[in-house]
Amino acid sequence: MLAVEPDAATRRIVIVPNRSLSVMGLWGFYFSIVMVTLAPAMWFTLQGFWPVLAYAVVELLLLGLCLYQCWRHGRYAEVITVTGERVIVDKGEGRRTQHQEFSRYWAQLVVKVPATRLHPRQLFIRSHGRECEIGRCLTEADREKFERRFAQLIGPGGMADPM
Amino acid sequence: MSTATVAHEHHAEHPSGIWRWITTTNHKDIGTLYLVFSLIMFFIGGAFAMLIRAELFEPGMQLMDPLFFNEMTTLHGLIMIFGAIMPAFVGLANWMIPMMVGAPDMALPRMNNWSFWILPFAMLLLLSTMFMPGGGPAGGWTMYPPLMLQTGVAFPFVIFAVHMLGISSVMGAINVIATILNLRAPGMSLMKMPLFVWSWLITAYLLIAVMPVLAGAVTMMLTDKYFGTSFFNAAGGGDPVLYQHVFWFFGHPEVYIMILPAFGIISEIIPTFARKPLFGYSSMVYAISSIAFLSFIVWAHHMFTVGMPLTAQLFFMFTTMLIAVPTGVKVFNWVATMWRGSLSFETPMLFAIAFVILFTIGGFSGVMLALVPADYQYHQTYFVVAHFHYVLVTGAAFAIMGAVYYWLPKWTGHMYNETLAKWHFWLTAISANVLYFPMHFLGLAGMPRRIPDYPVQFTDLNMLASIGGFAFGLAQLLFVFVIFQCVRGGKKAEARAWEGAHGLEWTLPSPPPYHSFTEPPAAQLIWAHPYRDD
Repeated sequence: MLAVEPDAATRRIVIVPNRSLSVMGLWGFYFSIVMVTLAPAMWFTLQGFWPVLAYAVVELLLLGLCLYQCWRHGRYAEVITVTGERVIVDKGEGRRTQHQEFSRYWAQLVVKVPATRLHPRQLFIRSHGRECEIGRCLTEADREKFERRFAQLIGPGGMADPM
Repeated sequence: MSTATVAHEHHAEHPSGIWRWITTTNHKDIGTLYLVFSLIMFFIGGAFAMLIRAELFEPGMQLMDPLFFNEMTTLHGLIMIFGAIMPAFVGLANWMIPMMVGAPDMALPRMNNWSFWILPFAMLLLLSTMFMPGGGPAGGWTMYPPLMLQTGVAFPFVIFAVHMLGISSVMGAINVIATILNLRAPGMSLMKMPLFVWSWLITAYLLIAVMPVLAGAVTMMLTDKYFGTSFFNAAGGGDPVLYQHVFWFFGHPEVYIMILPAFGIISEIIPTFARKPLFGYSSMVYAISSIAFLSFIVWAHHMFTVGMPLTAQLFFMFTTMLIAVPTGVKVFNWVATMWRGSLSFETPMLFAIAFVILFTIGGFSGVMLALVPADYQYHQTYFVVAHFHYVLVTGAAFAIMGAVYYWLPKWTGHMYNETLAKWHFWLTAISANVLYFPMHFLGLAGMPRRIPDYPVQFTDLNMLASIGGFAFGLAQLLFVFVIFQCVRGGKKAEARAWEGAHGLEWTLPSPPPYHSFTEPPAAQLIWAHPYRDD
């Protein structure tokens, strides 16, 4: 998903993956499945069959961990900021973990086309031997849209162009 | 600034050959692995069934000793349930769910790889028990103690294999849940999801809820045998009947785990070939949810004859009969979808119609078995065998075969040979009925299940069933041939391979790209979802 925040001095593009589950929805689902799984496990434990509870707890912890991972990956974001001189790429899941800066004048958008159609195209910002992949979580059409917008943005007079 | 387009060699990053299949995290690859594995297991389990039917062709002991016969019945059940039917549904889920909800892949791709690769090792371990001193498991797929405790050296290996199969199933279920909840395309609310996706969400929920119960049950049996506990040992104050309660608390939802995805498949196929939206989408969702809920409170109908209090028998009888209501809703909706539709009878539709008719027969015999006084007569007879084979073969397996024909053009990019496929359908449908229908009469006449020999009055119907069994087995070779031929080539399939097909998966080219959704799922397409009739 693409979002562009216009600003007089800078332009910022935020790329985030599509996620259909809200935090409340995630908790609601997890709570319901914990109840449904633990209720019989507790009942069996009261009958003396405690190993059922042990397995249920381990399984629910695994499920919780997996859902947490999904939620964490859902917070992945790429923030591309274009100022008068620089193109700044920040990436992270919740907090910034990767920061790269490129000269706006020398920055080149590279589209790597896969040898077979089995794989999607990849976008990189490259300058002076350094490169940074962007738009990993975009669909192919969004990637094309991004390519056009980005070229427009960092090209001559791009900052003056309406997005 | 400039934009450059460069060719990029992906093969350097992605392994090819066998290593690709071992390390793959792609949902289509893993789906294919599951489906191929389940087909192989279907033939191994089927070969065991052939041996059973060969032994039962006539009275007397012909081919094997009783212990080996019991090993065959046990392994046939375990392999067909955990090796063939469940992995086939997981394979279909892997292939189709991301494409149906507009996701690029499953939510947890690495775990997806592990959950598949546990399976072959678990099955190899299970099969290897046949060659251990004392032979393989021979206590039936339900593994009731104390009979199961008589298993030789193989016992702990069987328990370990069951644990591995359970772990694989749980990981698969977690992946399905995470994918459906978290990766749906914008605009696809829960009540706009295809029925197959809905049925799998509920199935995964059931799997999560009941798998710890199976794991606990078999672990307790293990500790009873090797660590001196007495969970199910009467001599130590335990009760073997309680194992049956614990097992069937898992076992009955497990039955629904094997049939709910089939409901989803049929709900995809029928609207396509009736060229009408599914009748009563919402009621279908509620019916599947109701069946899932009821599956938790019916378990003791498998054990009416153990000596339960009358009130418990009545409770389980009524709750079991209650399942007929949501099931009836589903059958009614499928028939109503076909009503005045522009029907065409391609092979997937033939399997779907056969499913509706034959699964209903299995449902009726289920209602008969739910009646406590009648169950006293039918219990542990071939009537039960007929019932669950109508549900699991002409139900679940027919739905899987229908699904394979339905989605094969999408997977391979080629249309399959319709003539041969129809031959496969008719041979399968006729032979399945020749195989299973006589079992009703054998059961009503009192022939017990799980016996290698029988009184002579049962000979004719057993011969008939065996002939049906061999024909059924042979017909499946044709199935493999049609699939093989379709994979190798054939008429090019369109993106929308079937004229009446709707849904996001049909917007992708056939075969779809390695990473799905080269086009974003259009919101309008989702909002105009054909599954809704309102």
